[in-house]
Amino acid sequence: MKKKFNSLKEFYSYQSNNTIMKSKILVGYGSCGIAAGADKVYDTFESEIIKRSLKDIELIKVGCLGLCFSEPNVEIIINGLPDILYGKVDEKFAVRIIDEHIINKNIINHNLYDKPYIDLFNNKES
Amino acid sequence: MNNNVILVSNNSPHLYDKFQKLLTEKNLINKYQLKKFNTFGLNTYTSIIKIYPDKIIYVDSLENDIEEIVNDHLINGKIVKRLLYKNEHKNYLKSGPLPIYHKQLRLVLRNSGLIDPESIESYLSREGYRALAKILNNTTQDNVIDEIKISELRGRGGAGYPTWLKWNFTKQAQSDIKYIICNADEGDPGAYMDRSVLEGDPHSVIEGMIIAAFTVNANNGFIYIRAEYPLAIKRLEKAIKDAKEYGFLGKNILGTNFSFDIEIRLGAGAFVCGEETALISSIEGNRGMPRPRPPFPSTKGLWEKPTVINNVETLANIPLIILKGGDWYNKIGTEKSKGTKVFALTGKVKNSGLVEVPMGTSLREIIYDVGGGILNDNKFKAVQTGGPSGGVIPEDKLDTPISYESLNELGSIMGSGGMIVMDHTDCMVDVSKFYLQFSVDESCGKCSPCRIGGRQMLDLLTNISEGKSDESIIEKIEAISSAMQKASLCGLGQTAPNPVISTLKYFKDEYIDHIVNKKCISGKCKSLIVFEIDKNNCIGCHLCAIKCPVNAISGGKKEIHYIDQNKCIKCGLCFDACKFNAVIKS
Repeated sequence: MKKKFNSLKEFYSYQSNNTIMKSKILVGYGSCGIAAGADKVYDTFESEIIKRSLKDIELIKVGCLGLCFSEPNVEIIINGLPDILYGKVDEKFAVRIIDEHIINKNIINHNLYDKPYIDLFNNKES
Repeated sequence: MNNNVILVSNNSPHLYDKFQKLLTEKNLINKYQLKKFNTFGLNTYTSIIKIYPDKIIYVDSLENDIEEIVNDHLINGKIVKRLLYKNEHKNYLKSGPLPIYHKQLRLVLRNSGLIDPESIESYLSREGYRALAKILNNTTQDNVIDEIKISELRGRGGAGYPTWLKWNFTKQAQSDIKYIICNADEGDPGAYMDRSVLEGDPHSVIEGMIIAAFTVNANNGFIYIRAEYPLAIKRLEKAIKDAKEYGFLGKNILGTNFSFDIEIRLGAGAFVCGEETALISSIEGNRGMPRPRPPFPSTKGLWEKPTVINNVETLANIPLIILKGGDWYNKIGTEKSKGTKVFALTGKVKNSGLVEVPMGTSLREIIYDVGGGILNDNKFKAVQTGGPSGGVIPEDKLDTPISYESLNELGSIMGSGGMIVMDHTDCMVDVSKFYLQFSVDESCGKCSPCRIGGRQMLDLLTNISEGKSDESIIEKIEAISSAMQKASLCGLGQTAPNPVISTLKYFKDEYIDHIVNKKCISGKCKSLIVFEIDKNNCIGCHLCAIKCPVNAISGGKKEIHYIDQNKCIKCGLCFDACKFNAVIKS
């Protein structure tokens, strides 16, 4: 949605449509992530989502989380489950994430990482 | 959906096993998702257990405690208070968000890794451009300066000059045309903080620039970024385009009388262009060389007009200070250094990466708690901060709280935030040679102390590493260092001797070892090591001779081999290849 704010009033009355709660796959897509293979992981997620016609799931390229040693990093946000960060994700593991975590709501017991900080705005640690 | 989740930190596998045993015994194993996770801060706690959806964190639990957690918490819904994570001497309880037990605090990187950097909507959903709207709504330029002054924000490019003062000079300067420049010419070896901010959250920097422009009455801005950052450039271009479409950039921003536009200028890979006067000259289309200051850019900068130059990280702090207030920001950090600092933690450390910690955090906390300690549990030797302008810090100074002043006192600098950890396999002569080589390569050649002094000093260091020196050499190095520090035109030359001076200060023994004993214990200085065949161990398998890339090893099958020292390039392949310990390194 593109729009130009012509006044401060317009800006303040605008509600970003980005807050709708959807399941999210966040792929760390900075230079470091891409160097470690985040592009292939992203493509895998994309094609799996289309292949299985998964709805209500948002695949997002995000910047660097700072965990360079465990790149590529992928965070899965699903309502009801804690936000989960997987490190060292490859294409095969991405398919597992779709199968087990996204579809069956089963967290995979492999390469789980703690998020190293709290979110300043949502004030939500995960 | 089974949303009962138990996460057990992976440094306590016995607790995980105990959970599994108890849950199985009590027929609860299908009711819970029991998982292991990798965590940070393992030096602080022996174990971390997180229970969802209750959002409870237990720390330092022992094996015997697990039974209590299962019986009381999981079965009877009673929280085990004595094991709860404690926050500022208070037990942390159920309501509200989970507490932070990590050492990191992310202000500059607040959105990085959470939002889509190519979507302005994503930024807007997290208070994006709210700070800009706030100042356009009911704030005067003086109010902004005051707020930044209260926050005591200092330049994150390295020198730590108070940001409000810089802005105030430009604001007071009389001129119709003024400029804002964002310095994104990040060049220190091993540093990538600015790149990550621009790749992860470009709008925060743009918003910071717009606020600066409003405050000093500037209508044009430039982002000077090195061409080696294609992804950051791409995302910046997209962000600028989107910001224009949404009315945050361009004519009459948000319907006000204020107009401001940003252009991108690409650097051609010269390190010296990170120096502000050289950067300005590069934007003007001239060769990137520094000029003497004063006049400072804040009064006479780009095309001789008053110009604010701020680093990426400084600008990314601005919207937050406006939103949350200078008072809020001022509470974070030490007495003289406020806020946080982003460091690129690399080298011989387990969890290499980008960390953002409050000023006042100790180096030990960064390296051992956030960084997880030294790779392969080797022995820590030193940490290098500030890149080619900084110095090394040895183990006994690791507990120093980080601030601009404390790092200066140690003979290093804050710099832009590179932090390279070194272990016992690193040679300090080699390290200082590496950094000096960098400065010599990047010297623009305009002033002779830097151009000639750097080269001379590099020659002296090379002599040390090749065993061609005597003790008088240290005096010579000190004399040249002092001349370079005092007489060089810009920061590059003035600080280029820092790596050498600081290694000399803390590791003089190692220099003496090279100079007097002609020895390099870590084996990095190739001229000082010799590979020889131990005649008693050699069985004549010929493997070393096959591996040798320069055919320096002779000897037939089942005969004792011989290394020709004139041909040997000391690559060490024979040493690694020999299975009989018959190659000796000395």
